Amino acid sequence: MLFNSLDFAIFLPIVFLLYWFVTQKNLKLQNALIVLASYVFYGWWDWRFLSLIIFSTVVDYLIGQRLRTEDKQSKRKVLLWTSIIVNLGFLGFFKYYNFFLENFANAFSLFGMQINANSLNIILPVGISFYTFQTLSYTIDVYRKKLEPTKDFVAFSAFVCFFPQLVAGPIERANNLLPQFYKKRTFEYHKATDGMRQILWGLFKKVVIADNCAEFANQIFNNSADMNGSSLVLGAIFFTFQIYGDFSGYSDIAIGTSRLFGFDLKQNFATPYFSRDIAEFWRRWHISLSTWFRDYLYIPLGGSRGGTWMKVRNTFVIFLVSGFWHGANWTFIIWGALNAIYFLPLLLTNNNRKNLGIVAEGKLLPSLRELFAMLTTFTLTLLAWIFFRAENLSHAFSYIGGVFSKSIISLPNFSGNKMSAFMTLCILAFSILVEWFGRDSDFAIQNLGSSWKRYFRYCFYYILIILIFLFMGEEQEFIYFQF
Amino acid sequence: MKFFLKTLIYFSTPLIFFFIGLHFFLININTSYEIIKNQLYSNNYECIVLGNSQAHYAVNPKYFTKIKVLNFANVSQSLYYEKKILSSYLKKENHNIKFVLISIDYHSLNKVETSEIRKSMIYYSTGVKPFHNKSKTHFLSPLLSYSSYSIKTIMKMMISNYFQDIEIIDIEKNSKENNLIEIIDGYVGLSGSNFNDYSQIDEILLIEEDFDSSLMVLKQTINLLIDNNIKPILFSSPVHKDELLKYNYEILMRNKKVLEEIQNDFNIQYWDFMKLEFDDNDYYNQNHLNINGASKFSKILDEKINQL
Repeated sequence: MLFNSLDFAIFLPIVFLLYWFVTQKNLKLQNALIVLASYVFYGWWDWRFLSLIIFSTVVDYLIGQRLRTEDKQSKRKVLLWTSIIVNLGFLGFFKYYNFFLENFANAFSLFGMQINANSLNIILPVGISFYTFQTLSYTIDVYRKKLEPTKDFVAFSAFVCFFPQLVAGPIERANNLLPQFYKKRTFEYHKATDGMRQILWGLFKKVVIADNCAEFANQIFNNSADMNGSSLVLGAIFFTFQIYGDFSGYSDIAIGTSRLFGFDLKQNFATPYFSRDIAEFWRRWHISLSTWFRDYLYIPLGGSRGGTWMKVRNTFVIFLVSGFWHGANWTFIIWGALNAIYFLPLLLTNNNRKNLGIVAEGKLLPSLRELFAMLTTFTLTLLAWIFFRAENLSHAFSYIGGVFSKSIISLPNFSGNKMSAFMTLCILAFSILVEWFGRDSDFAIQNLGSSWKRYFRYCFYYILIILIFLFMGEEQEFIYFQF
Repeated sequence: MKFFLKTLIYFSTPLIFFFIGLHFFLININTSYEIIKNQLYSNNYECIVLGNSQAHYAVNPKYFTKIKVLNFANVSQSLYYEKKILSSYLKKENHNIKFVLISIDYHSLNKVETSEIRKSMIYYSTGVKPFHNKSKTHFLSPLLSYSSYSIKTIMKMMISNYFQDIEIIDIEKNSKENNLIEIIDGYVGLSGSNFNDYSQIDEILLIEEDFDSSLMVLKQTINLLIDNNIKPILFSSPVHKDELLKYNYEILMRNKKVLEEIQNDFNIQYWDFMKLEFDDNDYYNQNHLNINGASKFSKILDEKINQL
């Protein structure tokens, strides 16, 4: 079920009313309702893949129980690896089987050996990369004795399949989300209205920004050979905002929906395009994934504690794995490598933790130096997104080749509706302004208008809602569903 | 909680009124589908023509001498919509329809891209939901049966048309404004000739992904007609020889085989005029007749029907 669908608009109020009016007095029943609602939410897409989630839930629950009583380190390790192999096994099969098969066949063909590589027609289960990482975090934390394994199977199931963040994150840690299922939730007016505001802003980013940028980004990327340099730059800009609007929009809707049910999820995006360097960008972009890799991969590998070689190796590992997590394509791997190359100079010169605060905090505008740093970082990420969006590596290189041509100083020549593209750029400028003024909040409109009279505030929300309806395209899936 | 729900209702009420009002306003917009639907319901037609642009521009009802004909075909229109509209008409009315001519041309059994604006117009004028309805909640209410992007597309069109002072009558109006004549019994004729340059095109290839569903809709339509004691007749309109040369042989053979099977299975006739040679000045372009061609072809159809 898509957040931006009529189905969800009906599903959410029904679950909300049942949750707060029917099951409120019984915590177990309330958690069971979440499990049921989450299975309906997921099964709406394809009920057959529910079995994967249920299997994963049962395996990790049982392993957690065994880890509670098992003291012998070698046996604990076996249990941990069982969970890792089961979870990553499913992920590997559904997501990477064909990729590895084709690449092995290609590698062998280089040595003159022809391998009959029959790829399988595999459907990637929606959200598998997200819930796999979420359940893994539970087992790893239990193994490390940082988390008490849960005895409550219903609460654990609810943690694994919690519908607002099941299919595209944020990837929640067990130590943050799981304990929230143990405690009785009480309805808080301010939390709920805050959640509604966050849903509204998330929908705006998805429907108005991402879907409209997608129209032009797709047109330009799909016909990049016929486009001049300025059109290609425009295409890259549209995609840069498409992916941000799409994914951060989803996260906002997920977090906002969770707040309606009394849950607090971690912030997943913190105005990343206002970052002053690439290290800051990665502290603000897809925070739940970046921190997951930091805690479960980068630090166990040694982090930045070792020598220069160790730092370089670990940085590349984390970015390459992050790229590969996004999909079985070399374009994602190069995207990860490029970000590692951007990041390394900052790490090696110990400048990677220079910009920890909010840009131009307490000021209306950034300084020229900050503006230059933001634009430089934005340009670097934009260049990397070209690899992320391209069909394959040769497409990415020819796209970049086209950007750095003389035609970059000519007027865009893409054949789409220019007026519509201009309107999209105007709305983009409006949303950038809103995000700038709301950059110190969890989401852009959290505090915007809090001092206004109610009628003015409502008018602002009505304008956003009408814009959502006016600019709504055909229901578009979220980009991160494919990951 | 009560305060939250009260605030939510207070906040949502103007929006709900706005969208319900808009919905009813949109239902009452005068579209070409509204006009043709009204013609269908207010006249006692004996013959209906179904199909896409080839039939839409080829069959002029005024040349039928003994029976009253409605041309229900439309440009790039999937048979699905015509079947649904006809189906509800046949349920409600004490109809007088004896024949239904179903146009089958080279394109008919392939994917038809129906634009959002047209889907919206069809929905608001006739209540027919789109073929690919993604929402699974449409069964709850007619209001929810079509996702809100229909509202968006019509609103956008209304806003732009309001400033240009154009009445929403026909979706083809913008492109064919100069050639448009009054809609009479569903017929909109094209005048003159405007042949496209086909020299660059070797072959007219089609998106075949919807072949099975198109065939299913065709069979369902035939069944619907037979069940209602109406005689279905398949036909193909004349196509310019330049166009015929560009057709893919395999697709033509597949269509031929399928049509033979349908004729045998349902015991119905197929009138193939695809290769009937007309003068160049009878065509608007390679695959559409103009007003002259339509008058000639309609007279031929009239003769054939009168012989039945």
